[in-house]
Amino acid sequence: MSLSIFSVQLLTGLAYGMLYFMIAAGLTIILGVMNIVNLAHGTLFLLGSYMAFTFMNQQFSFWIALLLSVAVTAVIGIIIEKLFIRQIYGKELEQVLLTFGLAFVIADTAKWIWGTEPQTMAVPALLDSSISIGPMVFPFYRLFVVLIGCLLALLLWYFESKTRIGAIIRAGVDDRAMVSALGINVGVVFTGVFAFGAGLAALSGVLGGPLIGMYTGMESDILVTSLIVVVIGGLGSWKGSFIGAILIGLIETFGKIWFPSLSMLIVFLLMVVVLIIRPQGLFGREVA
Amino acid sequence: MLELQNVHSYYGTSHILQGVSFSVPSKKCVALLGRNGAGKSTTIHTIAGLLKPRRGKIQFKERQLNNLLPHQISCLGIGFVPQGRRIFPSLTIRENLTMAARKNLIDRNNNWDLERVYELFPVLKEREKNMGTELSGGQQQMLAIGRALMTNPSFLLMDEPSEGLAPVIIDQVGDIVVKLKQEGLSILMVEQNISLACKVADEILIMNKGTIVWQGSPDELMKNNEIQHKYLGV
Repeated sequence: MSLSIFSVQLLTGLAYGMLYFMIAAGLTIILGVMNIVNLAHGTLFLLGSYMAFTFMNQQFSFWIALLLSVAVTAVIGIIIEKLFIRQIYGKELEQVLLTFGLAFVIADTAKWIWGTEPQTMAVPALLDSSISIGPMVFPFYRLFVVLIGCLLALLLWYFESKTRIGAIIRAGVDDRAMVSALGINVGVVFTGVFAFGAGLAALSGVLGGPLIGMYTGMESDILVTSLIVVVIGGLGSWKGSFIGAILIGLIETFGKIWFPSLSMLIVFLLMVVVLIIRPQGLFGREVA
Repeated sequence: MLELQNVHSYYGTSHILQGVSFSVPSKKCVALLGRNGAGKSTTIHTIAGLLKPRRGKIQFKERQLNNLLPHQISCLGIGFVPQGRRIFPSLTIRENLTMAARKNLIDRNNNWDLERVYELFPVLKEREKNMGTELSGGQQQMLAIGRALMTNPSFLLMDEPSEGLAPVIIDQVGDIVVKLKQEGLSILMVEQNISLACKVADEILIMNKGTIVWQGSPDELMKNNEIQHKYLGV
């Protein structure tokens, strides 16, 4: 493999990793705090990216479309949490079934609105070039996605470890009932966490638009990959999601080049190995 | 201050509290004793709102608690020190305290904050950057009490504060409880340790099979070997 291909692939793998991180970060914290496997999370990614596509067709810039989609998807998250999930708090099986059903409804609604033809999204003009260092080429947009991913990781780290709300969320992962017995309205925390996760999924969807495009069935591909990231990283751990997502992004990208027919298998193998060695995930806490 | 009238609670289909009635007067400490499985912790959980009573009435300062959520009950001024302390392992000692902080809106001159909790438990200040679970059992108990105080309660629910502690530490916990009572807190304490209960409580309740079977002063309990033997296995 030439250095120029390697450099592009490396950056591509990292960029995909960042997209996985954004979606898995929401998934893992919803799982950690609310104990819900949100199977509709992939459709929120899809929705974010389709909405940005529509906004851009209405002559909004990429950046405005990005902000709008993230905001609208977060509001959709609030509605889903308040209208549906809240009705069946504590009933985990029902919640899984509910989010599974919602995934179908949202995905089919998207098909109805946007059709089944694959769509593409243009790279924003500002970032539509690349930088070369010797034989290595780095497309700007991918660099940008990696940068945003790292910034987000930093922001989440700060939020989680340095703010009171972050402490409350960590405490919620440890022992929800105790948090509420200390006078904290866990319902509000749940709504906030769910909306935040939905917004992150949309962010990932929009940023992924120019790289992956939009196609039918994309929501389940991305959901499966993010669930693997969550399992590898450990439930409720943003740090774990970050590391896990980068691993998966790189393995998937290079796997496709070196072992084209085995790339997904390698990803699953990694998950199996992690589960055997560390059942709680790389950064998950041990379950008593 | 707190009054239970004929309270019934279930865990699933098992009928645990079978008509519990008692009251805790203002600024007094009441200890609830009884064997394992008598329903003591269930009583505490039902008051804290972690378990909904099916029947009966729970009243706190004229407010009915039956249909309130745990955080609403806490906001009325009921602090919870749970069995096994339930310190948040992902939080530092300082965070365990600050995450629970709530201003005292009723009595502004009697506000519990980080500084005042550290004054009461200096060891927590010394180790504030450590994780909560790195403390010894006795220190964790202090952290759990401090955490409840940060919510500025007028009433404390304490579930087996002496559990798993060395005798000398149990004495310290007893001193703390007496001190908190002097500060004007009312306390309902579940205990297995009779001597601790008799040392700090103004009144003793004994539970058996989900009901209160005996009620009296610590002196009366100490003199009554039959009751001690029958319900406490002494």
